Amino acid sequence: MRRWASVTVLSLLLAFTAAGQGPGGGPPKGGGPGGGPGGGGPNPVNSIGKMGEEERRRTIESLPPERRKQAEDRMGKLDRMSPEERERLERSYAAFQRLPAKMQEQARQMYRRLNELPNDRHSAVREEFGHLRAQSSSERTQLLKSKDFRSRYNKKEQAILTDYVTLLEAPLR
Amino acid sequence: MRSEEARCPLNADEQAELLLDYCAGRMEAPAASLMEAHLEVCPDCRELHEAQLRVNQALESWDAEFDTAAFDRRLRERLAEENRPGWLERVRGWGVGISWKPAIPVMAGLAIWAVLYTPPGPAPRLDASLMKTDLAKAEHVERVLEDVDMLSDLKLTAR
Repeated sequence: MRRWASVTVLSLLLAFTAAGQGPGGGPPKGGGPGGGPGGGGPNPVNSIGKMGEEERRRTIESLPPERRKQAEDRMGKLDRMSPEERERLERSYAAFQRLPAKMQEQARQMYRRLNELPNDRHSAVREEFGHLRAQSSSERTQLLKSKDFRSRYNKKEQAILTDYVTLLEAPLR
Repeated sequence: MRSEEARCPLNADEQAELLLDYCAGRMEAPAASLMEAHLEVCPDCRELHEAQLRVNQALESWDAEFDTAAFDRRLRERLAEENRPGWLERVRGWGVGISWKPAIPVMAGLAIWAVLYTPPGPAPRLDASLMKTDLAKAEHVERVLEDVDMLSDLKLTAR
């Protein structure tokens, strides 16, 4: 009887050991090369700028044709920038990445809504962007509260301009 | 004897069996001779005798065709078939002579291993995995370019 008890205990130990070596029992993940998000890796803008033509083509070849074309155009824009412009953009991008994810997404949505506006309204809002950039923080706040602002822009445009002011106030520049 | 001849067995209940005995060949020689003499003169008894002969012949021919040995063999087979144990009884019978003690710890170990160890799902195809990686990389680059385009377009760049 004691012999069977010993065999049972041994079997249980073996089973625990085997289970411990399964997928759930392996070493913790995330320790590999590349690091996690915010791991201080190279700036992606810089990496894309340094890519050769063939590498760029291979990188975006799995995208649908329309999106691939758009990515190519944007890469071209990046190439046409001066080194100083690109460096500023790299720093802005790094700062943008440090913003809370919710705020980043809010900025992207604002940009999409802006591009959906009819041409005349798009131009008007963009012109207001220029004014806002030139203003101080308190001037912007006053403008957003003014009757003139509410009368010149509809609710959708007001939301776009308010989001833009939020981005201008964020530590991006 | 004359009187015996004149007495038809069909007309005397107590004598009717004599005719059946004669037909069956069970009658002794002197009585059988008397019955033969009677049959020659009695059409009713003769008719019954002939009918009885036909029945006996039919029975004899059926008897001849009946294969007792084959019948017994089939009967034994049928009985054996009905008495054969079902698969459950056969399995039970197989396990009677086996000691299950050695299997208990092994089965306990296997049960715990099954509970604790979740097997990995089917291994994804390598090319599908690579394609997924490629697409993820492409979408990441696309997202970076979108953000860069937005920052540049909205003049949100550092001074």
